[in-house]
Amino acid sequence: MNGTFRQSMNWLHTWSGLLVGSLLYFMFITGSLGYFDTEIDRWMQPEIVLSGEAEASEMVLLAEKYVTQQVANVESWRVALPVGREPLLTVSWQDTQGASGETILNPHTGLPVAVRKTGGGQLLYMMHWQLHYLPNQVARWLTSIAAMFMLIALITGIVVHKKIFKDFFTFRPNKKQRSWLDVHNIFSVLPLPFHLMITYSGLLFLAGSTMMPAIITGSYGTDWQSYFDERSSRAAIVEPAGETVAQLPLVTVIDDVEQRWGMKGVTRVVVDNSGDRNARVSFSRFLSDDLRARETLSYDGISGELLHDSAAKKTSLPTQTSTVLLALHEGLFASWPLRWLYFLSGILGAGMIATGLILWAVKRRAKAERLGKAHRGLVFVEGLNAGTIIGLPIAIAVYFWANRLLSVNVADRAETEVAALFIAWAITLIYPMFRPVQRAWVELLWVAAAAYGLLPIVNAFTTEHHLANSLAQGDWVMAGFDLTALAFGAAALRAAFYLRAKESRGLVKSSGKSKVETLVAVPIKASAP
Amino acid sequence: MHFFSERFFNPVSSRIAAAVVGGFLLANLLSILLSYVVYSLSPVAKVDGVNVGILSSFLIYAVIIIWVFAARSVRQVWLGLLAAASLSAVGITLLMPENLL
Amino acid sequence: MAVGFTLSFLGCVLLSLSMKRHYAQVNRNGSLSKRVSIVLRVLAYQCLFACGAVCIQRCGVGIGLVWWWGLLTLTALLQSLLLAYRPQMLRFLKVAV
Repeated sequence: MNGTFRQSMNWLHTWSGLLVGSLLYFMFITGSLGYFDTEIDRWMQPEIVLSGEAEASEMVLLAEKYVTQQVANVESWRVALPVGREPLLTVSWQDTQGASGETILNPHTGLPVAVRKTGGGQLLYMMHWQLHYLPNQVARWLTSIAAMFMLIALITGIVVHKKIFKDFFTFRPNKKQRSWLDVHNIFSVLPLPFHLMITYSGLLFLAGSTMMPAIITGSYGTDWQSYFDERSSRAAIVEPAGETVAQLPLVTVIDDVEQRWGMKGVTRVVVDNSGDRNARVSFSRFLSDDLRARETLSYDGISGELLHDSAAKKTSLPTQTSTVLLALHEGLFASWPLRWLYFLSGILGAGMIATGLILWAVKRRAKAERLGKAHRGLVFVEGLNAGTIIGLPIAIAVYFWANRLLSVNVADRAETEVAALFIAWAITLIYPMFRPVQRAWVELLWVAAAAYGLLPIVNAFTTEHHLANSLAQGDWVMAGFDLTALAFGAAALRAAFYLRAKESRGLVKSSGKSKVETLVAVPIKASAP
Repeated sequence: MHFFSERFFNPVSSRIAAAVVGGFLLANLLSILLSYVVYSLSPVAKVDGVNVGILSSFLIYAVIIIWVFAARSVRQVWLGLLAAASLSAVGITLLMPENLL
Repeated sequence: MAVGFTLSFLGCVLLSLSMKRHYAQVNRNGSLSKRVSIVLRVLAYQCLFACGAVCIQRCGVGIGLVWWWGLLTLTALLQSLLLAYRPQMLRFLKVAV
């Protein structure tokens, strides 16, 4: 196109990154947080009672008792057990009239627990592909398209990077553009397997509902159910027969599960078509040493006969490939140290996008200073960069602040917390319009330092699970959250000091009062106010 | 009018359209064709053929996009897309399972 | 996993030292001969692959590979930062070389 192959790939890399960079940054940040979604859930719901030594079979029976007593005409229900990372015993149900509900139960008594309503970490994680305030399909299309741009940016980036091996460890600080390029390269190349995997598997997740449904339709027409049944290692879904038959109490099925697996690792129990001839009960558990992560036993709900064992079905290579890729993306199999490595890779990915955007702005700003005028697009991107790269983390901190500060009984509590997040983000996006850009960066960093650094203190004032207590009790989820918040606050503080020092040394331009005369004498027209 | 057409129908926007629209269609066609080839011409199950198609689809699309921007001329791009799409369409009609429509 | 981490980190250190630019950062006076560079590089790859072997042996192929690449990323990042900000910490290797 414009000149050589490398040059056109450079153009493609720049534009694919620039157009969706902010959205991708949002996806990487929320996605990375998603690796700790249940931990964040726990911090955001400090009222929950931990299961401790409660027996799995006991908890399932308590849940069964609750549902059969509380819900008339139940059609299907499920129990999520507090196993592994999951702290809550949750029961959710649907009845024949179409109503549904979800309750958190005390794992020892089986009685409902009043827990503050919150989107929790789950919501942050789901926003990573569902966004928010947008119809689901629209959001999926946007994130799919962004992921496609990301794939192109990765491939073209590899093509363009001339010294990918020589520059592998290279980072030269304090060299303005060169340093930003070095950081961008390091954040991109070092976790490259992760970036490629996460992008491609992300595309695969949404392929069927957005970009590539034609491939399924091309062979199955309108009968997508067959496709899902053939692909899945779970039992086929059956419709209710319409015939009411007495249900087998779960205790019989539990005995069989106890024999095959032992109840200890069971994470979920699902009852479909309750009270009907075609009732089905399935038990699922995680495999801790296998990428595929989950296996299921499906039983006939009337006779208690084992109908399907997901482990028994031999999966073909293409199916295994899909499953492995999707499992790698979700990282459900990961123990906590590995989870931290996932989180690190995700944050590096966000950093890759951020440094790419900053690099573009820095390069164009240097050119603008030479020419004496700045393009409106540059000013827009500079403001957007500050407001997104620092603004989004601030907004997420505000989400956590709202969780602690909002009264437990407020109506629409979960939605209000999210609204706080987006309002805060909107403010941080608008803020750079009113300040010189470099100042805006520093000021936003101060705010981020305060937002994260003070979070454990807010926690201490509003709950009993503050840092001193959680460290004393060995509650590493709560303590870990507070400590991580402190770490982010400290990092933001360091960055703020560093940038301010650079500014006062006159190395960085900012209009407004500056004690040292700036190095560039050329007047800039139409630059940031 | 001349200015208008120059502004919007320039080589860059043409390639963008080729990549986004043409490439998307071609990627779908090629993936469908691939899935047919896999399970029609080998003892692989239908669902696995479809999965191979889906797994490959994004790689195929990425390669097409890169080619669209690397190709020497815009004419080459559109002709290439059309040729590939026509050939795929022929292949698809030949290999399409009978009970589909 | 501490073993894995150590192997991976060592591998990264050796690999970076086998490159002229980084050797010069650590060892101000000496210059990198081709022979030393090759030796360093071979040792480095041995360490890195040994790390992979340890991870796979401990966790199986799937999860082991994930650990391996995660450790490679982390240690490469640490080494880059070390080279940029505290190259003097690696001076002791001058003696070994």
